[in-house]
Amino acid sequence: MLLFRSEEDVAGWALATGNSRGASVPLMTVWELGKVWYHDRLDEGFRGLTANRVRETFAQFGLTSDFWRVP
Amino acid sequence: MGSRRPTEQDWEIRTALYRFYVENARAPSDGEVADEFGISTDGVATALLRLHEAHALFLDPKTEQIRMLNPFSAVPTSYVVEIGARSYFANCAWDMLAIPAMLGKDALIHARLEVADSTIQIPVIDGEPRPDRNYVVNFSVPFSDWYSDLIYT
Repeated sequence: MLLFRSEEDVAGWALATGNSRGASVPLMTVWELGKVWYHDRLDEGFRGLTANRVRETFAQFGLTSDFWRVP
Repeated sequence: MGSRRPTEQDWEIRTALYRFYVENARAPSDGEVADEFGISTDGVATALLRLHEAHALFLDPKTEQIRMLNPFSAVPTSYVVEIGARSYFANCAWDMLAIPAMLGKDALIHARLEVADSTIQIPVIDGEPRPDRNYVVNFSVPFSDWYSDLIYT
């Protein structure tokens, strides 16, 4: 995951490099997503992320397009 | 070898790896882990492989050494998070935010900015990032493909 000034910069970068434009998420949303995603990572009881948990976490932040589909 | 699923001891090793990384800003060697758990380095390597297959950490495909303890990186990257006297490498622009979020610490993040080809600083003060503009983080790979090439992702 890379950092850009704006979605316009992402579009220019994708065009210049041939990379997929993918999905851009505001930095502050990613901050909140990280809090939820990693909140128990240091806990002794952590046993990995389940597909359901990933699905629910993405949905919590409105990440519901096919790009975020959890197999 | 039996089941490839992590054992309870594997999960204990995982927790110890994270705690070691937080304290030392680096991953421990197999020997350090072996000493702590009273097992052989081969036993550590096998445990790490099971944890890797469970996506609980990521081993470098060439060296089979720890490459990622997400959100931490065991190798230098373009995303550095200063917390107190420690500097942690993050795997990516998401993980550079996740480190202070996970640790609940204020920080100074140094991040590579694409296109502009520069490094910016993002302070985290009183538990919130204070970027100087509305940056975006780009996810170029759909979630369903994240684990097929985690280094690129």
